[in-house]
Amino acid sequence: MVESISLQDLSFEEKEFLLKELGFASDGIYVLDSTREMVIDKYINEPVKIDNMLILPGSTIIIDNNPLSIASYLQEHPDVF
Amino acid sequence: MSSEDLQSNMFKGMFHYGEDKLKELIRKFNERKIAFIQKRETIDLVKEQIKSGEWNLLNKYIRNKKLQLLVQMGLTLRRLEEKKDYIALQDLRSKINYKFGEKALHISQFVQNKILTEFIASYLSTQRNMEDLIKNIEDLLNNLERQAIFIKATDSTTKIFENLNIKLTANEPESFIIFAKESAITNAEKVLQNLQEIKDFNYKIETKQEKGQLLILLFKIKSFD
Repeated sequence: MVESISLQDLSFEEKEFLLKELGFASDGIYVLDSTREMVIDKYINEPVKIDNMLILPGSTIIIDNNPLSIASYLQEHPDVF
Repeated sequence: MSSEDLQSNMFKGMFHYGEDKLKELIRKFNERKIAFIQKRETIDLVKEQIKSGEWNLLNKYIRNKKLQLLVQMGLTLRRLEEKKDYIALQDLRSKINYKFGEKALHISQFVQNKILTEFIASYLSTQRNMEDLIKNIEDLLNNLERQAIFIKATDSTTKIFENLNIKLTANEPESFIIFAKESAITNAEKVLQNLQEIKDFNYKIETKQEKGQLLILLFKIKSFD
């Protein structure tokens, strides 16, 4: 089980810094990948908003904060939380 | 430490991690020691369902990963309904529908209404072979439109009965489920009465009624010819 850090405690600039350091970016609303394409939550097929993102271990997976995405992620990574 | 220092440190901790601290967090993330989340609440909601006794029961009889996920989402929908969090409930329904389609959403709602759990509880007494149980339960979930009827208050009982008759005759399913809520229960009771009047009916009938729901379960009577 890993330690959880709440992104709600970070300022917008700190979230952008975090994304940049991990090879991502933001257009102010959505998370972008290194080619500036929107990052799509693979579990729900929807773009991820910076204000509602989870950044999870396992090749840096960025998903939306909702039960379907989290349960899908946990199916693949049962020991993370 | 003065109260000013304490306040300043709290402020730094809560709102301004600073570059060095962030780099430290990124290092830990790359070592798979931390995850960045929003509220713990959503994760806990999902984990609460996975740890529940009901999931442990249902999980024994469902091997397909997609069905497992839809069942977990059904339990989550029920929890959100209990918490009267209707915005999150509607949002989750929309996400299931968008990702997997309407049939999949019906599977989750089937679990949300506790129908699957009640069905399995009864079905266990008629079927002992584990492989058959798993196959039939997964078949049921994948074919709800053929093996279940959800009665509405506005439905005509004659039409429901005709529809039921067609489904039973055409598919001869091992089991069949009739479900009604609140004002639709009167219609379901009429259908039940019609079923009970059939002579030499091939199915054993079981009913379960609680909290404004009526569940009628039909199990095919096995012939030993």
